[in-house]
Amino acid sequence: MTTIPTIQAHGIVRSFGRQRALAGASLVAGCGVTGLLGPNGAGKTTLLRALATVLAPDSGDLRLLGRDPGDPKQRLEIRRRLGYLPQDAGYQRGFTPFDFVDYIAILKEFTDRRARHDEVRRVIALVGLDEVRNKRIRTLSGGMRRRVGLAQAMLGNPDLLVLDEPTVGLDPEQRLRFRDLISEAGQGRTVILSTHLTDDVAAICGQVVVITEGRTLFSGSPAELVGLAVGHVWADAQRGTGAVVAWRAEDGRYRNIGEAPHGADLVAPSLEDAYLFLVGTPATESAA
Amino acid sequence: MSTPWHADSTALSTYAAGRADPVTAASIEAHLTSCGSCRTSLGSAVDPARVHAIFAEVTERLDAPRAGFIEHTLIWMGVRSDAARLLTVTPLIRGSWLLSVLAVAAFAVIAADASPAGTLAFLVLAPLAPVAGVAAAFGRGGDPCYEVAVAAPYSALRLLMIRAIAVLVTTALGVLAASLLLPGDATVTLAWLLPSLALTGLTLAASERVDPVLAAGTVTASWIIAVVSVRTEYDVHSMFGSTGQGVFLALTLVSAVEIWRSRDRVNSLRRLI
Repeated sequence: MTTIPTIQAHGIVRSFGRQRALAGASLVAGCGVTGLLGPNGAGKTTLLRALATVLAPDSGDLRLLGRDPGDPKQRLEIRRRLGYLPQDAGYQRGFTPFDFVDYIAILKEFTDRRARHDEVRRVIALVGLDEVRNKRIRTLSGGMRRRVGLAQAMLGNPDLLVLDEPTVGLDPEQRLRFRDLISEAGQGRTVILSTHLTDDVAAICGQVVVITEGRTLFSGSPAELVGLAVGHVWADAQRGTGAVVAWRAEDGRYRNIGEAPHGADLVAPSLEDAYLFLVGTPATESAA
Repeated sequence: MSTPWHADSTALSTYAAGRADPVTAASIEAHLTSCGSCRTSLGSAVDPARVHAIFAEVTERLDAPRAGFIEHTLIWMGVRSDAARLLTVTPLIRGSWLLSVLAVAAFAVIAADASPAGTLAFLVLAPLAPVAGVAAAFGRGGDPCYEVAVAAPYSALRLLMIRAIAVLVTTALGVLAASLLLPGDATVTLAWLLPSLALTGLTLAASERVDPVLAAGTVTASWIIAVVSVRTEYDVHSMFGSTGQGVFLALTLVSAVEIWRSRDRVNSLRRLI
């Protein structure tokens, strides 16, 4: 039996005025956590907004959960099975986490008051905010607010979870906790998250997609991404001439990434190295 | 410390099931406070589902958002509880429209004095209050979590209508209260109602194509130009007479039809919600 991937996006183009945010990006993702990596302005948010049915692509082929988001009826079916955490999720002043998640639950068609409240309590407990559910959101820490956002996205156990930079602005401990939550959420559903931290991807993503300038550079497992940089990372006393990226490491030697010279002291690449190798080189040379 | 006698198992299970009469229940409760053995027996006699249901009910009473007076009244009037919640939450989402409405209403009342010209100034300004409200409530950044709202399956047209009603009713009550302060004939001071419906309808219909603030601005400018041009030819009061009211009613209906006709467009646009 073959299963259709939850997200099938091919050649997605989207412009804002003269600026082309997506120039033919592609992304295919199924069950599990997929990380979308890319520098700022690469088009990550635009792509995720298209996946969340908030933004229609100018052209390209997009199917979510086997349905066409361009068709109003099918879009509604997608939205009923979708959870979305935007990058700059705002909250109404004066709302408590309970008020806020309850408000979103109404928009997610939980019409029965009692059943809705039970669901709100469930997702708030899921993200560990039980204790503060009736405190004003504005009094909560940044990490807690992100968790409120995740709670609303988890309403109704969606099959597709779209999370835009969920770990941004979190301290290391909160980030660990958040990764744990997301990794848990990835069991049995499709989660797509954007980040510019390779640590996040290495920690929880089974698949990684790298985009720059609105195009997909790489799609595969984190191990495959690392594999691309094998033989391209070397240590030397000075900055390598063939290095695209180089910096002085703790041991005082330069860590060079690029075309290694003959006889170079090659080192095992990390995911971060591989990402820099990929993004730092012209797309035509490194496209997987 | 335990007491020399124990409640019999039938009495305990009747009590646990919630079927004991008040006297027996009170006596068992008094006994339970001092008898550990009977408390243990009671624990095994209670249906876990019942405990869960009772606990859930207590939690619900304690921490569910409290429905305020208006929300209760709406539900009592037959409005669905989710719609009632959305209606009452709307002013909380963006309070700034209330300020713009109050500003226009205050201006209208100040402009109005005992003279016919004052009443006329009120009639011209008052219909603009809900237009200002709509612009402020639906303008860019009107809802801090609009992206989440767009990705939710709730009908955008329905949400738009609910919010428009919340804005209209609040505005209408405010301006109505202000109009009662005006001297003179009550029917004259109520003559702003249909024009305000028409102008709001036009603003909402135009908002499907352009930014709500631009739509409101255009409607306001057109209204002022209409008043001024009528004034040069006829008596402005005629605008609020029966013929004028007929025109406003027609405009209201046309806007309503237009909003309904382009509901698919509304549902695919994020601007309005």
